[in-house]
Amino acid sequence: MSKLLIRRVVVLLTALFLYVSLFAQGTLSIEAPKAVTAGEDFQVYFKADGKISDFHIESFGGLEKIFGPTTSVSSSTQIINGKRTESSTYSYVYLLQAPNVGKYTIPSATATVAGKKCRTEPFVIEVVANATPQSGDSNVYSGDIRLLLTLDKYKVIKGEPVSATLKLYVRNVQLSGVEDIRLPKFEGFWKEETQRPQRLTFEREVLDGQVYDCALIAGYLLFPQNTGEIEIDPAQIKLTLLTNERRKSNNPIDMFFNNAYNQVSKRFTTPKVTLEVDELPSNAPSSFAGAVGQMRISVTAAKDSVKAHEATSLVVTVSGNGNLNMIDAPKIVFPSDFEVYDTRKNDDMKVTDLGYRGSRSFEYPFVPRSQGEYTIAPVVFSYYDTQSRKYRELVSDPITIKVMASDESEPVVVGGNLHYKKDVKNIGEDIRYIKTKASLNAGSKAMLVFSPIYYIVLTLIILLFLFLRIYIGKRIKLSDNQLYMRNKKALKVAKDRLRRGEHFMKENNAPAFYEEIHKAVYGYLSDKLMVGLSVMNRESIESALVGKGVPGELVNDLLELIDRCEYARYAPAGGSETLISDYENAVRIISNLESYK
Amino acid sequence: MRKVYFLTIVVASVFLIPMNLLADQVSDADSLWNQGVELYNAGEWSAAADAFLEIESLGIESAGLYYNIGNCYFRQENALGKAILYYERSLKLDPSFEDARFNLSMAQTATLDSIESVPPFILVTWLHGLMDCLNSNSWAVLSLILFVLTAVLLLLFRFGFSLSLRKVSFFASLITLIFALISFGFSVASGRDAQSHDEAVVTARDCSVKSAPSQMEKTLFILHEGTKVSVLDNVGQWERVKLGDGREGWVMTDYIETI
Repeated sequence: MSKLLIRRVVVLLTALFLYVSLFAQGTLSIEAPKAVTAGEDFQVYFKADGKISDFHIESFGGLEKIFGPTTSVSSSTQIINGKRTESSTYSYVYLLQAPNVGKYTIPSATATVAGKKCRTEPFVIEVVANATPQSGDSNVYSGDIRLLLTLDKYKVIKGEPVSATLKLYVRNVQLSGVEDIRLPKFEGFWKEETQRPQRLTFEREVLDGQVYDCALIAGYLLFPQNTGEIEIDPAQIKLTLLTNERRKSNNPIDMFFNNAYNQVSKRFTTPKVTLEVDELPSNAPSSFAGAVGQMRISVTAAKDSVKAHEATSLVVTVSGNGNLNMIDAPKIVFPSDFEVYDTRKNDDMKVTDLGYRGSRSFEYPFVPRSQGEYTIAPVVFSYYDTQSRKYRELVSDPITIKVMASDESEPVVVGGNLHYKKDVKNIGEDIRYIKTKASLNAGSKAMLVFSPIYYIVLTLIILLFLFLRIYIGKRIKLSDNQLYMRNKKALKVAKDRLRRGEHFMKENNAPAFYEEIHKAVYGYLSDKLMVGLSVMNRESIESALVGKGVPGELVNDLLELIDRCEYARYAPAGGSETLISDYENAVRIISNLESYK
Repeated sequence: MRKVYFLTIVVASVFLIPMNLLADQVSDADSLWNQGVELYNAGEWSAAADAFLEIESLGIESAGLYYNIGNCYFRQENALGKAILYYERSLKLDPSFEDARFNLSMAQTATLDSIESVPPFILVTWLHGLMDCLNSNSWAVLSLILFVLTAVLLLLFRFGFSLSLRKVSFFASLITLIFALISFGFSVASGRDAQSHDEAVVTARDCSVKSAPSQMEKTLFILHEGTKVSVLDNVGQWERVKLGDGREGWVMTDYIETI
């Protein structure tokens, strides 16, 4: 399938190539002088790039045929970079004569060139009266040599292109040389040189009813930058002429060879040329930026859909003719999420008589930073139409660009929609808003630190501190004294209780004895540890004593004694021996505890 | 006990007396303020500035007022110098005024003169940054609170129940005392800055700085609107000013305004 397709394409291309090469051969053109004088003989060439057959021309539009046709062939071979090209020119030549003054039109000639039917365009020849050649010995060149700067328009609007040509017209004079051409500077214009032949080639042309040999010196395209009557500074040329003035000589040999010429060099200047440049009308649209001519715009996006963070561009092309070279990039408002880079300019234009013809395109590269569908507002471009003499505003269609999810960043799903996290970008900066609530005291000049209030408060703080210090100190000292007294008395009270216990022991009254012993021990501990009787229990006693550094053995003995006392108070048991040993135990423990403060 | 009552009365009266004096002005100023805010919202910058300036002429000074005046001037054409002057005044009263600092930096980006000031020692910059966190009065209140805390900790140290508590409270009291003294120092320094008049802002569009206090003298350099200078001396209609980069010269009093 695909092979067949390729073969077809190849066949098609070959056919196309053959057609093109055939088309290249087979043209017929006419070459003749544009202006002749009445009664003058001149040649007309019909030239073709292939063999001519069936050449036919009905008439010469009233011109008389003196001789012809003759045929001639000329061929040339060119070798450029090893590439050999051959070309041959076949021509039919007639010798004609114009009988009267007027305009003659040579009608179309038909012929078959390289197997193809061809015809020439009708050709107009102007015939002017045969001026009487100026004879005599005087200088002959005055009035016969003119240097002219011609414009295609003499009233234009600012920015509208004007084509200017500088030509040299010569008649009945033999030129021997051209030197020192001074071209105009064209101040107040932006100028572009369109033609500047290396050699002057003369062609016949009619000027003011006379046939001149005319040579183009330079062609320009001018863009007026100022308004008003602008005078173009003159061009100058210096010519060397041959005059057939006879040498005044008595030498007979000289007289015989009476064909010597005199060389005269003379300077010629163009006459004054003024151009009226009008200001552009004042009702210009806001998007107008100086474009003048006939123009079109097209706006295209490089891609309709693009991924986020991927570079792409928008291309605006302005095409047409006019001052295309002076067009600036139209302003495009991109969505703020697009990062826009510098605009690039690309020209594809030629200089013509109508100004620049072609196109200038502006490329706006940008990188969309987040996904979504964006619409770029229509591009507005306006120009001054030189044909209809008014402003035209061109508005493009809005452009929609679909930005798809990027591969780089991870999308964040919020409420079922895809979102991309991004930094909050500052679009503009401004000062902060004023304070709407009256703040008439905040930050006022009354400084607290320099006011007496501060020092009064500070003194109060110090006084209060000293007062509390003394007051609390006294209170603590007082309670310390009370405790000290209890501490001091503890042993004495305990001894009293033990003595009473001893009395009960002798009576063998066990419950009373244990009660007294219990009271003696508890009372002693309460006084010593400075803890109320009501809050004392086994655990608090143990922890307090261990905290004071009493050995564990002694604490255990004490706790055992307390247990025994409590037990014996409610269930008396044992004989007098147990009472004696418990009494001795109590005395020993208390006296031992006394040594620990 | 009677002493305490007496002191309370003294303190209260010192606080209350100026407030009583201001009571009438405050109601006037309140309505002017609202008027100013409305005008500002309507975009009548110049009229709004007049309203706020009238409050100032009543003898009322506040950071917020100066800030609002500064904003009114900033919005107007050709009043950048005035805007900077009032932002500076606002910050002088309250260095911790974040909005004023922000707007001042915005205004300063529009000034023409770029003066490379000699960077101060890093510790000084750091201390200044810390000092500007609060205004003078806030530092004063903070120092009083810290003094109270020190007193409480000292009492704890003296009468604490356990040795460890007393140890901790001793060191804590030392630290709070140091902070109290620093706060006091900041309060004094900030207050002194606020009451000083040794800085000025160029309010004229431009002014030439002369080598001596006379119009005939040589012009040393030209200052533009919004540039801040220190004022060193005054002779008649001339002020001797110094730039941040150390250059000095004499300038006409009319061209600058003291912050």
